[in-house]
Amino acid sequence: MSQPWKTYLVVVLIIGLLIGAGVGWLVKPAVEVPGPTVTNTVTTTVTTTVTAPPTPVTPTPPTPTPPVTFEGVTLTVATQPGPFIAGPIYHWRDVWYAKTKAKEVRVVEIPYAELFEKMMLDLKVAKTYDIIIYPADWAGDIMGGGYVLPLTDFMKTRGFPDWEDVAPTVREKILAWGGVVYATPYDGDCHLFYWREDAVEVPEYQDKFYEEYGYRYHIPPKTWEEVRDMAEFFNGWDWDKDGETDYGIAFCFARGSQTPWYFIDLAAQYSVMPPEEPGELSKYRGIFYFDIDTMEPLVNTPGFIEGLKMFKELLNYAPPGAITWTSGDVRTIFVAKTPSCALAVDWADIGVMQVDPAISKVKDKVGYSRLPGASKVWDREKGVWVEKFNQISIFNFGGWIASISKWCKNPDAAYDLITFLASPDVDIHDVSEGARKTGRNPYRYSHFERVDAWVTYGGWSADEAEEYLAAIKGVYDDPNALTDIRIPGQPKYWDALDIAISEVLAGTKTPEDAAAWLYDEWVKTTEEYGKDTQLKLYREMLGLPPK
Amino acid sequence: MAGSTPFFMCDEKLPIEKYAKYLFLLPCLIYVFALTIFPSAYSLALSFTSWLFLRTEQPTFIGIGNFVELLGDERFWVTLSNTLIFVFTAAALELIIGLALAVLLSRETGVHKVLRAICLTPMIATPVGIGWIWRMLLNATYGPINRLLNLVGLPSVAWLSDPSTVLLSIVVIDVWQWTPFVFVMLQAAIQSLPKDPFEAAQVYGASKWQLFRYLTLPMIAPTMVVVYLLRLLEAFKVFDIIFTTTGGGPGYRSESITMYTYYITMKFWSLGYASAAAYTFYAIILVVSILLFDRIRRRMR
Repeated sequence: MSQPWKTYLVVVLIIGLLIGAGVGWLVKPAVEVPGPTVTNTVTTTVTTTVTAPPTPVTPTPPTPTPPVTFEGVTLTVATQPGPFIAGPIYHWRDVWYAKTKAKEVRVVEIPYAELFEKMMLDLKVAKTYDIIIYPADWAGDIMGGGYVLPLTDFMKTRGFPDWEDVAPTVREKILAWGGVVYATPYDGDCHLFYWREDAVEVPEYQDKFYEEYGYRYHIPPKTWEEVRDMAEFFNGWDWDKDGETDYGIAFCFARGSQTPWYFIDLAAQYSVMPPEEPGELSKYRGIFYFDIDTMEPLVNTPGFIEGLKMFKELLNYAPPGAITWTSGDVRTIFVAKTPSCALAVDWADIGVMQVDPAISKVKDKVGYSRLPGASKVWDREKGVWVEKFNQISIFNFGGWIASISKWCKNPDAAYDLITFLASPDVDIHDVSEGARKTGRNPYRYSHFERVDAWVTYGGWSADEAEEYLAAIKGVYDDPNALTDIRIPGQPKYWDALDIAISEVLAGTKTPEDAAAWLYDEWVKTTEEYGKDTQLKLYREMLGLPPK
Repeated sequence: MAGSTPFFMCDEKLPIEKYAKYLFLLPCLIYVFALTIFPSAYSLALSFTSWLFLRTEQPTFIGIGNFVELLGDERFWVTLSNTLIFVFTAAALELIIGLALAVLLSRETGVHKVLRAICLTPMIATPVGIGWIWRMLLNATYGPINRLLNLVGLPSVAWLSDPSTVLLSIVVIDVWQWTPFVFVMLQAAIQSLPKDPFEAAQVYGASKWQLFRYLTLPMIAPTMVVVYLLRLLEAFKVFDIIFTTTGGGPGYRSESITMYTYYITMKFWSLGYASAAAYTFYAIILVVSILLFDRIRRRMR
């Protein structure tokens, strides 16, 4: 005998389950939070807790005007994981809770490789993040795309702690888009040139170099030609007398890492004529990526190709296998002497790492300076090489910056948090004392001037700290300093650049062929995004008026 | 009294009973529609549009524009070629080595059991972890493999950055990880073979090679075909190993088509073009698989 009732029951159960699941999916849980504004956020990525670094002194939080509280407010901050970028938020949020009575700052940590897509998907679709802390070179997509709030009104009504203390180049080139401030500073970034003093500053080696090359190198080296000669000279012998073969230069060459930033360190010196007046950009001066009138890529010029040739040449004077090195390898190998390299380029990290005896074998043996220049520069206007010293500063990467999502339900609280994290009494700890535990690097004048903080909290000697800070400040003081490409499509332009460099290094394309290929790729990308739009945004990125 | 009989005691079929089978299928159908049919149809439709997701709200219909552009996209063809070389080399090597291991380790002694267990370990590890381990092993500066080469007087090799060795290195990593899978499948096939034909052949003086060539091999051939096809289809999806070891470099000499599609989708946000690339790749796999399967089937007959 059939048992239809069983069938009936099962069907009813299934329908019930489906309805339950559907309703459960449709209805969002209501979160009751006391206070004036409720932010109901959904964290889609696992939130991890990082042990807060110890602080030797109690920081004095800035006093906002007028003083406000955000009782019960919850904010969600999305950024890169680990102690370097997310760490300071965990560290300071308790202080901020005490100040504002806010309920919670949730930190959504997203690995760097996925950060862009996850951040953009949230800004475009899910809309759950209140604050994003992101690389400055994504400004075109994020600020230019209108995904974050302009901060002008907040700054007028709420103020910004010691705004004038932030380096003007950071305020104008990094935090602003089209003259409007969209972000607060979180981390400063530029490349520095490093050398081992126990190699470069040994008189015996200097004399030997003079005998071989017919001139005396400068300390720090003035040009990349000099760097090439020095790297060649110190390559392949035991100059630090530890029984191991030592090498010329530690540099980043791997594809899919940070290589384009290292390449621009060279290429810009050969390609960019400085403006006639500081900061006065024009068609042929102070410009690196695209023509400011036509949006034609400037990557097929003799200056750019010279940069590719020099970059490939430096690979010969790096340790075997350096073609796979990322910037992480560069700094780790340089400070750990595995193997010893006489010269290196890196962000401020080598400086910070070399003072840490736990990881450094070169403590007090490292010199710092701005990047070298070039002995010649390509004049695009006249189409000739100009044989003169040329030195261009670059904000490689430009650091991490904090913005408020346009979907943020409590922008006042969000503004308070990001300005709190950027206030001088807070960030001095992260960039000096916490420098070995966070990735925050200086961007304020007070960071450069308060050498005592670096000595007291960071374990530096005063002389070392002064030399290190002077090198960074040299870049920040330069009104002609270049930024990265920051217009929409930046990842695509950057990826093509990365591939072109990689092809040259691997020998699968000549510098000329790679430059021609890159030119075509950049033209295609520009056309894909719309040439007129890109030109408009590129001019905004440079702070130029619309054409 | 008929009127007081509960409905579940009646013999007549209720209307709901007639449709019960469809209701049972409903959850599965919803699942398949939501996660397979709809995304496939949607991405097929997208492949005829231009949509820069971050810049434009809606896709714009451009007909076969994306497919035409793909024809002239050097990177697409290079990555496709990389993928095909990788897939067929790795799958063939895995089949040959896996078969050799299955034959060699098919006896049931203690040593063989231990060796079998050791052989299986690579398959357990996650591909990302394996990628990082091999990245360190093959590191040209401080990797142990180059150290070993140096010890015997050979120069270091830039395994992961030299265009002539990079694909080979990735094939080696994949073979190392997935040969155990082939080995397990073929060993199971060998162990399940009937004993009688082998005993009869031995009575007639067949050598070990003849036993293998004329009995074992033909009898496990159907399993080999299935395993080979499984590995082929799996290898087409390669991503993790390449992403962690070479990032696709140097240039895009080790980039797979899946990686390129990922870049177009998640880095460049060109969703229409990415869909076209994915569908073109899908069509190529389909054609290759059909041709291959047909050829193998005919040979087996």
